[in-house]
Amino acid sequence: MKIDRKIDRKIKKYINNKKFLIGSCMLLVMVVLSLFAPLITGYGYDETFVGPALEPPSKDYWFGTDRLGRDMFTRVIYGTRISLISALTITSICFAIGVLLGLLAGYYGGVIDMFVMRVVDIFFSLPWVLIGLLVVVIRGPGLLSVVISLSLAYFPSFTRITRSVVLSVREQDFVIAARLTGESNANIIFRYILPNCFSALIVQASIIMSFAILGEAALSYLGYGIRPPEPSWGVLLQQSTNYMWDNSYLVILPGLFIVFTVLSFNFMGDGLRDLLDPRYKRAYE
Amino acid sequence: MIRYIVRRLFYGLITIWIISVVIFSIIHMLPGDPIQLMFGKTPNPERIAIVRSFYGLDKPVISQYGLWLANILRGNFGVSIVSGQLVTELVLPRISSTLLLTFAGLLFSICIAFPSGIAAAVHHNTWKDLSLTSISLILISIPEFWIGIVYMMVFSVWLGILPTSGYVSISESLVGFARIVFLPALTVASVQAAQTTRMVRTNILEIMRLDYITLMRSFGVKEKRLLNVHVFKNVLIPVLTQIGMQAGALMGGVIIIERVFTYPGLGLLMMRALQDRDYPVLQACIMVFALVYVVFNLIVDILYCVINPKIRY
Amino acid sequence: MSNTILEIKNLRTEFLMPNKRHLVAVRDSSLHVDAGEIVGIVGESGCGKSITAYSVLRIVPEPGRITAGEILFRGEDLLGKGPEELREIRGKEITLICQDPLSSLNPVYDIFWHFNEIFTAHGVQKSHAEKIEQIVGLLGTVGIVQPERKLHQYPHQFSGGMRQRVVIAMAMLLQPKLIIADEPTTALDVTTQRAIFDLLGGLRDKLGISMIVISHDLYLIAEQCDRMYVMYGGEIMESGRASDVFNHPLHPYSAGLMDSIPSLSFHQEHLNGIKGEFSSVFEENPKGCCFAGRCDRVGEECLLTRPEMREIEEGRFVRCLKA
Repeated sequence: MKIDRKIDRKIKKYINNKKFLIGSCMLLVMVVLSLFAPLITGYGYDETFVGPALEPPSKDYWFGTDRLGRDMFTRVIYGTRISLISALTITSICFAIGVLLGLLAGYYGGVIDMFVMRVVDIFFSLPWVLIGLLVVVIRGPGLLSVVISLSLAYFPSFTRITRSVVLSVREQDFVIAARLTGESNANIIFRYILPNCFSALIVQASIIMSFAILGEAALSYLGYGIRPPEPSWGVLLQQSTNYMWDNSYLVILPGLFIVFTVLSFNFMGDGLRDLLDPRYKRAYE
Repeated sequence: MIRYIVRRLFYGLITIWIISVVIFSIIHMLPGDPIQLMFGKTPNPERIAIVRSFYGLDKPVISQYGLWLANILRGNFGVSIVSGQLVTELVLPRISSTLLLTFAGLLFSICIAFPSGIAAAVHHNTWKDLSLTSISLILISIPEFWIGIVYMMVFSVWLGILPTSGYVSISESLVGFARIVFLPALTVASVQAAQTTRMVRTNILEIMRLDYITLMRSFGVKEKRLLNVHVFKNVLIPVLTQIGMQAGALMGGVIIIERVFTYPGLGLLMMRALQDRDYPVLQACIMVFALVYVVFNLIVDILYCVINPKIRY
Repeated sequence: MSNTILEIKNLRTEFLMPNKRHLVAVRDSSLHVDAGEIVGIVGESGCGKSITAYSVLRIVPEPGRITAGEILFRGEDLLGKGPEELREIRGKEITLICQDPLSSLNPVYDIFWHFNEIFTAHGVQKSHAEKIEQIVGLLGTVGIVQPERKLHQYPHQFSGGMRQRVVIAMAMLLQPKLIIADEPTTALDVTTQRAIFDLLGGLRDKLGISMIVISHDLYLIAEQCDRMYVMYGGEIMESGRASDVFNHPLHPYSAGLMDSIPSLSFHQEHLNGIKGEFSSVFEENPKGCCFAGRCDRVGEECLLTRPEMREIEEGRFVRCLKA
């Protein structure tokens, strides 16, 4: 019973944080849309001439239709799938690589630290568009290029955060005690140090999710990412730009969808920071 | 202070050097022989061999790199494969237009961000704060290219007051240039300003709570002066760090925005070179971007030194 | 009562928390400071000492509010004053010395700037040379060697003790009537603590400035102060001549505090602490004594009736039903 109540209180705390609540509800909407896309719309994302071409939004075509008479709403919600899946992949890769390097650099220090941090600094400093461009030069456009380039661009933030937490935790009593009792390095790193990094990392992960969505859309828009006929948001907007004079809905509605999704992660990130970051907590307790 | 700056300069040089290695190896890893590409569809084996030895491509990789680097350091980036023009001739005029766009955007963003960040902090937890923070949260959630398109739609298509593309150089007509650069710069500024606003706001709130502000308040210093002098200079330090760290993102944004507005800067040139597989131009553009990035950070570091006495001494 | 500099009557300071709850940080507290007197306030952390000090200067941090009481400074109620009048009193009539000298100077400005800000704030018209002369003199008084060389150095170039001396010099710049020292030595090492306290005592003797010294160091308070107040849970529990309270505490809490001082003079098996933990949640209108939960003399009536301040003998007050 007591444990129940504790969990209950914890859930309540999260629900009481408005930003977190709004963000997760928004995200939930997007996830449902992308999971049940085939149930929500009757059209295929690449089905041409389901209606007249360049038809403004109506009861049948919520976001209107494009030049080839494809239903824009269908394309946009299938785009949600691509966007969320690629963002999740990128964030997971960044998380894995970044945290591992951060743990190594922070725990072992010395030459390893110096080497890792210089590499990280360089990737951190390179404009991500430039990284994307270089990857595209090597292996051409495509989903994999997007994943590789954005992973390279965004893993450094995880490394920096992990390293700074490790540095502050490494000399604390419980870690020293663990070392003295002969725990293996791997054990100390993963069981004693890593759990302390999580709250900062979770906040960062939600921020990187939003960056990854924006990055994928931008690279696809430039033609370096996902290629047509896949209905990535960037692709949709690239195609729509030509019609902005007479069919502005083709630009505005898909764009608002991106903003909505990214905003959900930013809300969650802000909320999580209020909930998890001790620096912000202190203000009220 | 000088030692600090020299160290930062050294790091910057290392960054440039590593980027040069990366570019060189990428170009070497590429499928297809650049020399054969140069000759197009009618390769002449003898002439290819001559050109090859002329570029030192028959030597080992390391000495090839040395040669390549030496050429670049001399400002010799070679000739565009597509147009046959000297790469430097293509790149140089673009540098100024990209720099103008970047700094106009940065200036805009600072002019927007500081007043709104300060306003949000001063009216902490009121509707003013709430609306400013909401606007900035929404702005950082907007893709740069989309906000650019929307601005274009509003100002050029609907209102018809600004051109959608084209270029007037600043020496031709200042007003014409300003009209061209306004929307791209506003786009750069929008996202940047949102981030900086948030930064300024949280830092003011944090510093306002610190002992040295309370102490000076207890000595009767006016609230306005506390904010504009005592807090402000301290806020500049983290905000400047942040602007320095965002330099990469800023430049990435500029590249995309140049494409959206077909603004003839380095980014557009670079993307066209990538499309045409014009490697000499591409590598020159990337090197210039790296250089701009390093110089930008050096300026930030110097400003940082000026503000922060802990580094100055 | 003409020589009373400051009189606080039934002060109540509350914090309106985001969850709409009121935390009462200072409740129904009265104290007074006479001219040339050093008054100590002791108590554990979170008991409302610092908030009392901030209340006097009306600089209670957000979301704090003074909701009841009077603060009479030389007979005038500070709570009725406008912001500009208050600002003129701060720094000129009443000054503050902060707890942590390491964070009480602005890191991006030099020492001279700090003093100059006070001059500017109070519209002092002086030539640059005069200002320098006065500041250098002051820095010398508070025991900084080669003050003219230190004038244009930055806070991070000073040690904690030195910074606290700078703050004390700042507090004395315009010859105030009252200095409030909020734990002036807590963040310093033991030898420096001593020196700072001696400095404050010396300043009082020389210049006749009244002081409120807030601390949890009972020894230093008992030694340097004329009178002292013991605070617990936002309330003043006991007051009287410092030596009396120290040697013969009447309130069980004060007694517990005195007992928990380690002594070197005889062999002690263990330290007598106070049982239990201080709960930091201040109820709006508590029933009974706020110390009842930890008191070893607690009786049934202590849980039902809130004790009032009673005068036991002349100048000796206690808030306890049992005393």
